[in-house]
Amino acid sequence: MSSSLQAFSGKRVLMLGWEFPPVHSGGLGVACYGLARALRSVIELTFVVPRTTEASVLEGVTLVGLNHLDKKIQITRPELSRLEGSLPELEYYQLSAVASDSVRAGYLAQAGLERLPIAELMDDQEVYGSKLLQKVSAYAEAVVAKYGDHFEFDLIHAHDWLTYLAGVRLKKKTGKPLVVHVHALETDRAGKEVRNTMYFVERLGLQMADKVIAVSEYTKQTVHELYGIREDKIVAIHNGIDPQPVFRHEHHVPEKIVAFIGRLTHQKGPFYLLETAEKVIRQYPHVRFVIAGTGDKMKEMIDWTAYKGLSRNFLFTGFINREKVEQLLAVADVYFMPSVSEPFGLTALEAAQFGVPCVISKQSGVAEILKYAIKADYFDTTTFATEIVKLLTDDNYRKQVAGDIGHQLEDMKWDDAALRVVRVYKDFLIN
Amino acid sequence: MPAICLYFQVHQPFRTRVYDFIQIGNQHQYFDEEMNKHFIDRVAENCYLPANKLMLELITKYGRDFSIAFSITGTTLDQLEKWRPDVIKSFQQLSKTGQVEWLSETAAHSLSALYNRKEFRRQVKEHDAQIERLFGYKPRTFRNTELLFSNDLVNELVELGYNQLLVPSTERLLGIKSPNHVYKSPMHNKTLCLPKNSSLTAELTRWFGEPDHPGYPLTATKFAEKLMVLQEAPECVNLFMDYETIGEHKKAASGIFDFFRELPEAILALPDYHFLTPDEVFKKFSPAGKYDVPYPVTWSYPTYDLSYITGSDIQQEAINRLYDLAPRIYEKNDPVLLQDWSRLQSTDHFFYMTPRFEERGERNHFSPFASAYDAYNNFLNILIDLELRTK
Repeated sequence: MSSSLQAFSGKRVLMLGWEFPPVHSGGLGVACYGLARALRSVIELTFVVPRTTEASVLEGVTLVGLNHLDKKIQITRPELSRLEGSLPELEYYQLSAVASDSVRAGYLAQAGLERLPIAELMDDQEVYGSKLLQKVSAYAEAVVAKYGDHFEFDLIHAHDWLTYLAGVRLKKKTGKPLVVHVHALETDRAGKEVRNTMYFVERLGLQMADKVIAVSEYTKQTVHELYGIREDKIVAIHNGIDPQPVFRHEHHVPEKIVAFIGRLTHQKGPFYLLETAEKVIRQYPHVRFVIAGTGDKMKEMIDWTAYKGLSRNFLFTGFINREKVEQLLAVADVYFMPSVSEPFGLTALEAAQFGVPCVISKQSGVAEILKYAIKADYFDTTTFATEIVKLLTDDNYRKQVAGDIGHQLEDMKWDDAALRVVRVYKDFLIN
Repeated sequence: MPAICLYFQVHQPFRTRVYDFIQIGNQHQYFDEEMNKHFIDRVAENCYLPANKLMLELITKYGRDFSIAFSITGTTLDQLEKWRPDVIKSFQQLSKTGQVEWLSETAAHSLSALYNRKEFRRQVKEHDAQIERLFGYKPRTFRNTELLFSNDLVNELVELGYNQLLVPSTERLLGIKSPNHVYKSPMHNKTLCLPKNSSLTAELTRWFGEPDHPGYPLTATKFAEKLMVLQEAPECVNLFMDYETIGEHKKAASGIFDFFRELPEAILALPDYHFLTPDEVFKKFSPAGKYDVPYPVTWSYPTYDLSYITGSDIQQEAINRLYDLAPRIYEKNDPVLLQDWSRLQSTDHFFYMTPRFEERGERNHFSPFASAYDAYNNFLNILIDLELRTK
């Protein structure tokens, strides 16, 4: 990294995140890890997450799990009602109106929770789970209790809405600059029109931030258009991918494999996936779509394959861990990601690393940087199908596409992304 | 001289292990030895051993006045032979008294009768051979998985040598008839059917130990009183149930053992009542009429059909794919492959896939899987491997 960065010595960043391997469920954890690893040589980092285990270690980074917090720190009252004054009046009204329904109901329904030690709440095997809103609120309370008075740091960097409340409160209390990092938005998950608690928390964080980092131009535009944030406050910094040992395995099923890896939710385009699959199978029956992940659309998808009598062309793995994701990529012939709205799409990069050609939707951040990936609109299942069949039947074409994408990855290391993040810090840390 | 006819079904499946996509093509151990042994041990301690001990006591005490019938599936016997020979021994001890009838059924507790007749015949013969080997008994009465029956099966069973059948009953099928008689099948002049008395059996299998049920707590004497008030003079009251009702589904603390301990005395105190096995019932009573079963019926509450086993698209997809393999399995002529395929036919695997429980916000307490779809996905992974082995 550039020597001009020496100016940072002694500066400390407090990173607020929700996932950090091995305690993670998706791309957020992978991205936070990659970024922290690249930043640690430049700046002193403390990374706070709800839960760590003995295996949560990254040398050079202080990793803090709130499940190890002092048992005396307890939840006092719902966080969202405390935001008075931090929002324009109208928006506070909107937020508390929404929040009071979901959060307060969630709280008060569980009498006694108000006295629960935060450490206990955070020690949840599920990274998200049914107590998410309580956890989000408690996370903010704990971060302020722990760092609001006693900890010296120079900048707050908060990843995704889960930590925005904490970031906002800490900024208000300490006056330190706040950078929020958008990996995903509620409008991706639940559709453009959504205006729920998560949306308002996101908007609060985005408004209160001194700078917004978006994982793609696609997300930058969304933040601008759907959250009303000035474009010049937002910078798009793509995620990176570091070289890692990759391997190929022999197929254990005789069919060609098209892999999908992700949550089975509306956002990931599950029914465009099925529609594409049906068109592929019609032209090339010797194929198996391996669907890795779980979500609220899983049952419907499985029912569809049974109803259509196509179960022989599918395999649903349920949620799979890192090791098995790699095993799947090692046998996959095509990686398919028909997301309806995808801020980034890190798995596509991993697939590319494993030499698997990617077929992805144009409505994804990763499409901006994967020049040679096959792209189509998420609803254009005919183009998807045609391209997938071509990749499955024409070996030379497949190798060429995979090779072209693979070469490009060399310019996408996390160091480059970290350098751009550091430039954001610089505006606040070096006067 | 009315009779009580007690028949107990003994069944444990080979539960499958967690079989993920990585294992496909790499390893063919489908069944979870540790889990299966755990369940076998548990049911042996809770039910088989203490219930067998009780039955032996009752036979010793009442001699020819008390008799029972068992149907034990091959999947259960295989596991008992492997892990609990002591349980096999205790069944053999019961058998030696001569007061026990052993029934015929499919070895794997399968629906082969509906899906593949060749496999059905093979499994019945396999089961009968195992019963003969272990208990020196040649079954004379047939009962199908879940008591599944329809007219359609009669000729098949006649060819297999069976014209004494235990069958389910529903109000709709019985019409104005009573279940407490032997009936003739309209399909074959010599084939006799013995319908289960569903409501009296349910007093034990469902309602026993339920404080909200009228007449709680049920005692043997109260049960005998119910027989005295039956509207139409019964010839045989047929109580067909899972053996696991005694001590496993209904725990010892419910008083279920005491109930059965006191049952013979209470029944034998009634005028003319005694216990008969199905075979004895068939020999003793002439048919009271015809029992017409034009569509498949089972004993499973509350639908008396197969909707909990094959009622959804995913269940049908799984079972159809399994039976589609039949020609290739036979062609391979590999005993291990045949055994794996056979054990996967147990209805339990498909029952675990019913979405009915989750739709009602309940859990399927018999299933080792967290959800119906987990069960389905796991089964299909195994099926992919099995399909590969038949190629």
